[in-house]
Amino acid sequence: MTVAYLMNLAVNGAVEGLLVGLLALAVTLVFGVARFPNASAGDVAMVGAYSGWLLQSAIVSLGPLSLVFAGVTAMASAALVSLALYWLVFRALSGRVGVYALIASIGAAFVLRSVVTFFLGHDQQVFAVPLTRALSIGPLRVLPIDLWVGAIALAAMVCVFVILRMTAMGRRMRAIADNPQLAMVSGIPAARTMSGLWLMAGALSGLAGCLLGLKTVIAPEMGWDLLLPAFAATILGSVGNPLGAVIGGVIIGIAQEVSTPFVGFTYKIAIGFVVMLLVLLVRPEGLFVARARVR
Amino acid sequence: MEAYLIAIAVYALVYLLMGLGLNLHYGFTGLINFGHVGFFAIGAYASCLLTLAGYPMPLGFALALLLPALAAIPIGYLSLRLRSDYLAIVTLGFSEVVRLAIINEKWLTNGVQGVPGIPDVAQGFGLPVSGSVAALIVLLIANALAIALVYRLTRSPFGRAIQAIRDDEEAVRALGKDPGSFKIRVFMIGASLAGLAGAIYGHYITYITPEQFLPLVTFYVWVAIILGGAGKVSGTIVGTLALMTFLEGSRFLRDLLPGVSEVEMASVRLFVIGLALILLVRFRPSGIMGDWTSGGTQR
Amino acid sequence: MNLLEARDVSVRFGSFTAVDKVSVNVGPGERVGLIGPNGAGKSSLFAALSGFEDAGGGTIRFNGRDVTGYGPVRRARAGLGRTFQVPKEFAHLSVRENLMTAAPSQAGESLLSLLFAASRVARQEKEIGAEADSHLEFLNIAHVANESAVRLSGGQKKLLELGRVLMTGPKLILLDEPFAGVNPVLIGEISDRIRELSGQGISVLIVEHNLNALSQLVDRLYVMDRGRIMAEGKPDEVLASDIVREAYMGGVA
Repeated sequence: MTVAYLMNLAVNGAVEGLLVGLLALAVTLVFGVARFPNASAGDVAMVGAYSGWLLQSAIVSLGPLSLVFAGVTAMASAALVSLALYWLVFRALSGRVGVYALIASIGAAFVLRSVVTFFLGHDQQVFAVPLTRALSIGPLRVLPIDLWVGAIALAAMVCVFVILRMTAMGRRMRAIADNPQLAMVSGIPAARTMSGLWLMAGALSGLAGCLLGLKTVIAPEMGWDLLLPAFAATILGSVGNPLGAVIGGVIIGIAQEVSTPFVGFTYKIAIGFVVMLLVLLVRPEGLFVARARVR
Repeated sequence: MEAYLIAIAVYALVYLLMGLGLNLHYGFTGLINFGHVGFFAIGAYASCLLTLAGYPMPLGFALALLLPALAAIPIGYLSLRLRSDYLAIVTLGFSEVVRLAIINEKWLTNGVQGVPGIPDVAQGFGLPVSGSVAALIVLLIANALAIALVYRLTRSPFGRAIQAIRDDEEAVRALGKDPGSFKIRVFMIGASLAGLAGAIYGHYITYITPEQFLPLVTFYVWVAIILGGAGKVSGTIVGTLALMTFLEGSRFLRDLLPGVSEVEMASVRLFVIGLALILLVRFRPSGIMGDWTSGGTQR
Repeated sequence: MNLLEARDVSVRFGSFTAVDKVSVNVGPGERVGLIGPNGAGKSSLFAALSGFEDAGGGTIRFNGRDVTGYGPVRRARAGLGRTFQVPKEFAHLSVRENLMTAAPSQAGESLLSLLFAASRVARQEKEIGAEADSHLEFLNIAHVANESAVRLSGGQKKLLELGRVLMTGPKLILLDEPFAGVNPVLIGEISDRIRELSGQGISVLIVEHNLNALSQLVDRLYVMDRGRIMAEGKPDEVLASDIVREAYMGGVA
């Protein structure tokens, strides 16, 4: 095993980590504002991937442009599913014990997966992607598709940070995250802000699913399998901290890939779990806790 | 038809045994365990592999009680330090790691191919009946003992303490009692019950694969617990019956819908379980029999 | 010698100092009050005294022992009991079971004894039950003994908490607003009970906003404001002093 090999794994891990981070971003936004770990985020991502794939199969003659439409479709459909879940399920559960929303989100995950497998079956699918040769950068060999995936994920993250920092909607989200009671009293339109939040989280999930499908394959379990690493990244990066979630995702992505030669492919998911356990035991507030909260 | 009824009864009793354990965790102590299937899997593989290696089945059952309890100790310790939603994630992750380990450790578990040719319960106990009937008998005894155990526990000072922990852990500490030792012991007992259920299940179907130990199984049991009413033995029984009625009813549904394949039926079941989880917490979180979250009378 | 001696106790939340180097002491059988406006740090001080918060560099001695490093469980076992501002009843246990839960070192909490020493467990249950009944009588809530605790009124829950802490055999009880939400008749009763307790040698430290009831009950009064002790002394003297009028009552009284 050479250093170059490990470095290649690390680069691959970083790209995968960005996808974990993308889903973790969706999870941490909801966790920070709606205050429960949303276990349906992974399957919302899966729905996004499948709807993107369905669209692309129909317009594959457009060439690479079809992928752009697929990505937009993935984000839009996942955002709508996410919004529907908020209005139909989670809105009524806000203010109740957090575990109820968590259980409901697992139910929602099952419902989404069952609908997809009922109509589309359990077979793996792939996006039609033009064949390309790996680029050599020094000792690294990188597939152009990975560069694209990484760049798009980064761009989406930048968009989210701009929305959170620069727009009125983003400021309202952060206000609710900081102090829900105060936000309520000061007249922040909760329903509209929450709708915006779930739309954004859904779009992020859909994009994560679509990009993961682009990088690997599309399968019914892809979202669920991405969920545990995303939860781990959320906790690692401090719940409710968007930048932390992204960094946590990259750390977990790299840890998963680089550990593969040592622990085998199957245990990859377990690495995220182990990292999460360590964080919970050593520093349960995560690495990037924004500030000491007054209780 | 008789074979079919026995099969239903066996499944119902396997879920009931698991449910009694989960009810100790969640219903009586308030511990959120989303990884119950992990204990179930450990019990199944422990007993099946041990008996395949030529050891007697009672020893297999003993190991199926012991190993999950041991696995529960570190999780019990974690439960002392983690918020309940984190504990939920960690236990869910635990059961997935168990499944990954089963897939990966082929030398022991034969990986995704699974373990075939497991001795059935009639062979294991030398009973002059079929394997299914023997499994049914053993399950009836195991459930009777488990129900007696849960009653004895929950109506004892120990049971009083765990319910106090569920209602207000801080107050328990202020009274000079350490919730930790109670939680760990509860985790161990509940895990043992799931492990035993796994062992009997494995010897009943005589062929186990990692596919049988998906998180879905955990949430079957959760549906049964919440449906019946958490924190009540009667609730677990009623909830399990309701769950089985649905799962088996869906088979009849399949006979009525000839165009639907078995794979599609699996999707339908997943759909209904998911919908049940949503509707239950949305409209009837205290279940059919009522539970402690509803503020009704106790027990 | 004092039963409780807290020296320079501080409680900080991030950059906010809720309790700033406070020292208090309580003698055996003494009834002491602790008053101050909302946010003065009274509840945080209680949390530090009962081990739920760190003492922030201060020291806490109790019954001749240094208990600074003890958590809440060990402090309670040492005889330092407490109640809570918002009652923390075990909602779905009966009132009687609430009290019985609190009895220390019960054989029936061990799984082995449950299985192999059932008669000893049963005998002890009888003793604990009788003790719980006597406390329920003493607190005048015997008539609701078999009710779910969640159904009690606010005042009854306060009494339930007091009964529960009495089951632990405390030497000092920290009472957090025992009169809040309690009707005047019941306030009189609770006061009588507390007097009887101190007659039996049990000390109390009471946080309370009902100054009338409190000043008639306690031997001594501390006044807290913005994390510090502003005054200390006999209730009528303290309440008459200008510092207290200004700090606590904002000049209204």
